Formats: sequence, structure tokens, C-alpha cells
Amino acid sequence: MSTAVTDSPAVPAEPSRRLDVLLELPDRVDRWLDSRRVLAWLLTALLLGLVAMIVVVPAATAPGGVSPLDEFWYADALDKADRGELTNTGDKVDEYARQLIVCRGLIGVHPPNEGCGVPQPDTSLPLNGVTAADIHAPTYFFLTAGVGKVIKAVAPTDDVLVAGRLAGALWLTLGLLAMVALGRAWGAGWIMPVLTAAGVAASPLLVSVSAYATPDAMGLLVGAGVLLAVTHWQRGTLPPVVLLLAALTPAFVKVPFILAPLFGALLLVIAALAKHTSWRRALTGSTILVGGAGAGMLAWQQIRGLLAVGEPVLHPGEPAPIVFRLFAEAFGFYLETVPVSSGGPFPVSTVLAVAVQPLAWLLLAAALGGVLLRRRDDPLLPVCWAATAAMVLGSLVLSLVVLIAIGGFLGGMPRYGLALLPLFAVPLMCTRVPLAVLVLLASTGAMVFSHVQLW
Amino acid sequence: MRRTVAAALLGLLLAGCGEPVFAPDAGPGAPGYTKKPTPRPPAVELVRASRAKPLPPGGALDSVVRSDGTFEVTGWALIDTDAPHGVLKLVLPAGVRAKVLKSEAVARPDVVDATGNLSLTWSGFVITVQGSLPEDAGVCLLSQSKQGAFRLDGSDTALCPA
Repeated sequence: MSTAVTDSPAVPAEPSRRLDVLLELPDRVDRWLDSRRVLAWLLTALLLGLVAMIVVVPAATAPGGVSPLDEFWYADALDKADRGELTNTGDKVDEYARQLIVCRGLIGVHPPNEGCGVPQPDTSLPLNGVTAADIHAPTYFFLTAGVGKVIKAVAPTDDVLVAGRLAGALWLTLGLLAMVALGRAWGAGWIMPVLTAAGVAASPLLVSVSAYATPDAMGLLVGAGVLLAVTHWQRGTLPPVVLLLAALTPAFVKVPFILAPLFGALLLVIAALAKHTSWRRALTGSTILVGGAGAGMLAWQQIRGLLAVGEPVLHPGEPAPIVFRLFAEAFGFYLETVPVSSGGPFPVSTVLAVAVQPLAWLLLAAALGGVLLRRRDDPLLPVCWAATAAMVLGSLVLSLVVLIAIGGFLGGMPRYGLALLPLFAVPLMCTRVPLAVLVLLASTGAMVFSHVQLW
Repeated sequence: MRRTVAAALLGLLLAGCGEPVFAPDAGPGAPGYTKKPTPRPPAVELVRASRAKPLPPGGALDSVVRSDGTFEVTGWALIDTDAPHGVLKLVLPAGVRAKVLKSEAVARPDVVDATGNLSLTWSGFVITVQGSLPEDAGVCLLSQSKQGAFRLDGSDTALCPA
């Protein structure tokens, strides 16, 4: 009888019990959603789509200049793709982009000038009016121009650049969903992957690539897609030809994205070392990934050469002389820059600059903590090792790939590590520590709030 | 379900007929954007070195780029963008036979930024000259307009004394 009295709902629960209920809430929500998969994916897509819109629309439609991260040339490639034209090596920038840079200026570099509306001679343009967008395969430009046509048809805008920028919300949403799928493939629930994805979406790096015209807008999608293929290959549920396709694809969007198949290969080798997969499967998969990534890169360079109508021009971001110090600086570069830094002079609110820090700490802590604390038979141990190695060595590996490919050094940029971000995020998405959920909730909430304020 | 699809399609159709929500505030897609003609380039005269008089500095000669049978002179000068435009006088070393093929006006936002003078937006120029300029030879440029007469910085002082 006495138990009936203590269990009575009229008696308030003890504080510790209330805390327990609160701490168990993410697990209970995960279990509830797990039993309703379709609804869970629908809600996830809606929520991440909404976050992508909140993040992309204000920056994409803001008055002011074009992005200094080569958007002048990418806007021209987008304009050409909109008219069904390829951007080939040696092509001149057309009138649309020439007017954009004069009429809108360049963010953080120069304001618009009085020449708006006046035809711009080659001499007043960067690289004497020759395109630098030819270094990228046309995949992003044609897909974005296609989505842009739909956007223009349903009214939000009539402008090629604004429509292309708004298409970034779609690439971001798809990338975030692929990232959540990757986390779930490694055993994550729903709350942590969705919070991690929303935090990543609102970070300065993702805003700088998703709200402006750039092939980097597809980095998250390409990286998560490749790593999903690697995950299924490790489990024996993916045919070799699909893995090969996944390895070839990154070079046909943007060459630095080949970091995803390269570190996917490392993940397989570590999985074999930890006896989570057979050596035969790991070595076959790694060979397909490394070979496919290299073949994709070479194939794109050959196609680019065949399509060229002129000599390649020196791109400001292209190789500088080789100095050991540059390689030393590339060591650990992604640890502090992805997803914290945009690598460009974009306006970042104080709230956003502060709120992104806990997300970065959690990403590193989950990966490094996994390396130190997870047992050898834990299936997440190889992912934690691969993620940590990618954070520390990613930029260095890319520099070495460029050195081997063209004999020069390519300086590190945070956006070059975008395709690795889904790998960095897997250990955090699989974390079930209540404190991590709480910190991530606060960090992501504050970041999204900082974007809501811009509306 | 059918009603929802029909409503969505009608919504999209009506949206397509409406005004754009996100119109850029500047550039080719912006409302009110108009094309304008290029400002007239400055007149260019070739002058013998012996006739060049000492002048105060003003403007700058940025580069002389030689190619087969021609060379290109670029820079900016204190000349008027409105008529009368003023004149650029190109002083070449003795013995160099040359002919001005064309001159172009170039926007120089960097000059406007540096000087704070908006009237210098179109102060830039590119002059294409037919003739062979020896590798070790320089050139001198003088400008004359309502703003005064100046010797462009970077000119060869052996051809036009300061």
C-alpha cells in the first residue's frame, strides 16, 4: 500500500528523477522515431530543408558583391550553362559576369564602380577576361543551371546568379540528408545526426559555399555519398562497379573532393587492421577507391585538354613554388578550420563565430575520444581513426596529390576539406552522451538563431 | 490528395506570373539596369623627345608590353572624361618609327579608391602602337587637359625631364 502512495501522480517527482527523464529523452525520441522510419525521414528532410533555407536565402539574396571565392568566374560558367554552353579552357568571360563584378563589386575586396552598364574591356578584368572556371568539370554548373531554370520559372527571381545561389539550398539539404544517412549507417539514432547536420549547415564554412555560386556547394553531398558507398562496401552489400562510380564521381565535380575516396580507402585498411573486415575486401575496395579517384582526375584533365580553345591561364589559387614550410602548415589544417572558417572575408556575426566553436570541439572530441577510448571490437573504432587522420592529414594529402599531379603546391583552404566533413561527423553523430546532446543543441540552436536574425 | 496537387500547381502557376521576390539590387538582373556606351578614349599624339618640356607628375604609366610588331602602353592619367577629353602625348626614343593603332578608355576603380576622386573612374587607358620598341628602351607619356599638363609617373626621364 505504501508504494501506491509514493507512486501517486499528485506527488511531485524528485529532481534527480526529473533529470533522469530529461537525459533519457533523446533515447526515447530516437526509439519512437525508429519505429516510424518513413515519418522520421520525412521530418528530417523537412527540418534540414528548413535550416538550409534559413541559412542560404539571406546570404544568397543579400545586396552587395559577388563572393571573392572565384564567384565571378563561376557566375560566368553558370550563365554559359544556362544557355547550354560549356566553359572551356581559354574562353573569355561573357558580358553578364563582366557587369556583375562592376555593378555589385567583390565582397571584402572592392565596392561597385561607376562603370556599371558600360562594356568592360578585358584589361579591366582579372586574368585579362579569361575564365578560371575551366579547371572544374561542368557537372555543378549544368545541374545548378537546371535547378536555376526551375527556380526562375516559379518566380522567386529572374536573375541567373540569384537562382544559382538559391539552388545551393537544395545541394545543402541533399548533402545533410546523405550525412544523416551515413551516421545512421554507423549506428546513430536520429537526434544527434539531425542536430549535427543542422549545426554543420549553419556553420560559417557551409554558408560561404552554399549561399554563393561555387562547385563547393556539392562538397557535403559528394563526400557523404562516397563514404556511404564505402560503408556498404565494407559490409559486402555494394557491388564493385558502384564503388568505382563513387570513386570516379568526385573529380567530375571538383578535384579536391577526391579526398573522400582516398580517406575511404584508409577507413577500409584500418577496418581490416582491426579485423572488422577481411583484408581481401579492404584491399580490393581501397584499390578501387584510390585507382578510381586517380583515374577520374586524369580523365577530367584529358577531357579538359581536348575541349580547350586556348592556353590555360595562371589561376591565382594555382601552385606556388614548393617550400617545406607550406607542407608543415598543411599539417592539421582542417582541425581548426573545418567547419569554423569560411576562408573568405564574409560577414560573420559574433553569435555565429562563438556558437560554432563547441560544434568544432565536439567533432574533434568525438573522433579523438573514440580513438583513445573505444575498444578494438567496437565497429566505430576504424571510423574514429579515419576521421582523426583526415582532420590531421587531409590538407597535407591534398597538397601531395596536387604536387604529384602538376608538380606544384596548392595552398590549403578550409573548403577543400568539405568532402571529409561527413567523415569527421560520424563519431559525433554516433555519440550518445547526454552532455554532448545538450552542448550540440545549444551550439546548433544559437547558430541557426544567428541566421534567423538576418531575415 | 488531388486537391493538394491541384492547389500546389495553381500556386506555382500564379507564382510564375508574379513579380520576382528576390531581385538583385544591382547588376544585369536588377530592375532599372541599363547599358551605357563606353566613354570615348583619349586622343593620342606621338611627340618627338626634343619637344618634351619639364612637367609636374600626375597619373601613372603602368606597363609597356611588347609583342610582334606592336606594343601596348597602359596606365591612368588626369584627363577629362567629358568633352573636350584632352590629349595624351606619347614620347618615344629617337629612331623608333611608330603609329597609334587604337586607344581604349578603361575603368580604374583602384584609382578612385586611392584618390577618392570619382571623376577618375574612366581615367585608365590602353594604347596600342604599331612599331618595334627596343627591349631596353622606355617611353614617356604626357597628359594635357583642362586639369592641366602632367608627366605620367613611371615615364622614362631621359625622354621627358621632370
